[in-house]
Amino acid sequence: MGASPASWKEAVVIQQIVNALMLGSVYALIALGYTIVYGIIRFINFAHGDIFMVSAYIVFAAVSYWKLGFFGALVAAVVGAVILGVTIEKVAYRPLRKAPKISLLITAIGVSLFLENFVALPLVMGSMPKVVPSFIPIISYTVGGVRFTSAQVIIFGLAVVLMALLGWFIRNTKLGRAMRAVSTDYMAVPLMGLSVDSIISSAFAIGSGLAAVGGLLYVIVYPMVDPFMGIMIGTKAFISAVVGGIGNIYGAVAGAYLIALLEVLVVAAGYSTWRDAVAFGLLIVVLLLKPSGLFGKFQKEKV
Amino acid sequence: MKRLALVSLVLLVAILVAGCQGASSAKTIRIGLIAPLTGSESLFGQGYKRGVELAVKDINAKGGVLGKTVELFVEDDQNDPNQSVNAVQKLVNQNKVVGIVGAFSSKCSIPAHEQACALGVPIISPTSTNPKVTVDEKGNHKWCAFRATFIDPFQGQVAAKFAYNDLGIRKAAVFWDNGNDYSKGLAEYFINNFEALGGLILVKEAYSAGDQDFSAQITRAMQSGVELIYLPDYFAKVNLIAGQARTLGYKGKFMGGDGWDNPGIDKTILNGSYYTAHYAPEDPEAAELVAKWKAEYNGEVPTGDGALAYDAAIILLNAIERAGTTDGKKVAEAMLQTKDLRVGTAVVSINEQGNAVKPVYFLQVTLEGPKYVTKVSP
Repeated sequence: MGASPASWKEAVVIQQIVNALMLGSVYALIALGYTIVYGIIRFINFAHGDIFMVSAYIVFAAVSYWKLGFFGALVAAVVGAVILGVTIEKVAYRPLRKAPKISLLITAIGVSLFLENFVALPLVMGSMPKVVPSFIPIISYTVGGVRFTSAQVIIFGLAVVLMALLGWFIRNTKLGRAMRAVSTDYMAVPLMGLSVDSIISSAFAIGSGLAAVGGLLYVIVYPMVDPFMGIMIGTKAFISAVVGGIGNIYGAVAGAYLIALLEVLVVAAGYSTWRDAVAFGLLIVVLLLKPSGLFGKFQKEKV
Repeated sequence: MKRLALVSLVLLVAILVAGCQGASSAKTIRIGLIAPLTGSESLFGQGYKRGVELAVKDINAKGGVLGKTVELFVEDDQNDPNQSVNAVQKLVNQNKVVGIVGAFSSKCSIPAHEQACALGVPIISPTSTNPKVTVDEKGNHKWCAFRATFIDPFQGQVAAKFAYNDLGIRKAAVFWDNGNDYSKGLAEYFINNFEALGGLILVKEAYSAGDQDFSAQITRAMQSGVELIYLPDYFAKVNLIAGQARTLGYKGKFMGGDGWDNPGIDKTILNGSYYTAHYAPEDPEAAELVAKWKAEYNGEVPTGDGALAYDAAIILLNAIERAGTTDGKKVAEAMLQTKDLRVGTAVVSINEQGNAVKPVYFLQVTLEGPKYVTKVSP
């Protein structure tokens, strides 16, 4: 630590921002799943945090039981989560498509509780937290007094690439356009000869796939899985989506980084017991001042 | 009115039947166990159950207590204080137990012991180390409350001395769970003692049980140049924090308390770290218990929680035998007079605050399992 006190302090702040970017990336990947589904069928999929949890368990199994590496675990988690997400939609939500929204919401909570307690069964994974062995080499670099590890670079890089890809996909592909069409006018889509069911399925597939990547990145930095890990992370991701303006993909990403930054700064300032209070406090403030969220008015960006 | 009369009649019959059951089954000495058999601390709870079951088996093989067989009733509290209190009520009112072993963590034991005192039944916790488990706010002993181990002021003091003198640490960080009396108390005693020795605690951070991201605290600790992070929590959380610290590039040491003493601790991440514990399997004093345990449980070595649960049950049953009755007050008095009793891990006496007087053991995490380093007697 030969640096002068001033630059040393600066390095601490940048280091904390690096931490916030990591946490924010995980929140953002999950928040996108909430926002995509909401954007299309105006429904909050409360089981989404648990899809994240199941993906983290798949990564755990892939690494400790099947001895797969990073890419093996990534593929296993994404495939597993997509199958799970699409199945949940087909089995639990599709039959209720025409039912009141509240029935759908209660079903989602039921699915969430089912997934948590199913994984917690002694014969499945048990309720004990499990340690995920490290599966990528961790190399660290120091740039101007700020430490980066290969894990942080991978997490941030992968999250940004995926979010950019999603943005491009929604804007420029046929399926993306179809999704925006369902979002704008649900009833008119079948008239154009498109299948609403398959468009909704693909929204669930994309959301679940992103949650799976979130699960993988999460266990790299926080190497532990437990059946109830999806509750808090899912809630934080959900409020990120709401703060950003639910239904808007850029809003979800911005909200996620904002919440993560706020949390990390609160802890960095020495008030770690206040972190959740501040995160949820921000939600209340945003809802009071701008109920549609920070980016809520950009209707045309809705997916 | 008729309905009310009917209900009263049914209740009356129920009470009579229950009463008869209680009376007729006084052929056995009933004791209870409260442990987290499911949930995140279930590995500890399973150890408790095995320890108490083994103790009951041993005592019954020697002819039981007061000439009667000992019968065990087990309640799961999931390490939730509300459930611990319910478990005490159920064991006393429904199962008619005359003594209880439990609970696991201090946050559960404090209310559970208060409830047991209110119901007039002595209770002994195997491994709850917060002082408030057995004493009230003024420091007076709660008549019915005991524990089979040392308290955190002693554990924190010994740990701080070890860190300062033996490991040569001068700058440390302490993180603790704000919602757990055990974690909070041990952190406080470690900090006070380490600072009294002249060491610096540069980062003191509380977290809540649900927190999963510790990057901000760890970064602060790393930037302030600490050589040691003291983690007074259970192994699952410790694994998570230490794993993140290593990922973030922390190169210093970790140290912890008896919450680490479980096979669930991550041997790779925490390899080489020291922690304080209730017992060491290699300690010659525990040899007999280790041999018995191996014979009973497929060659496994007793865990710290299991061994102490064994001790706790022996202390309770011995007190009932000496009291010559199952009357709660008399058993508690006998327990308070426990002197040089041979239990599984050592020879112990109970002091005036209801605590067992016994040494703190230092263990080191190694890839092969815990390694016994030394023990410090009070």
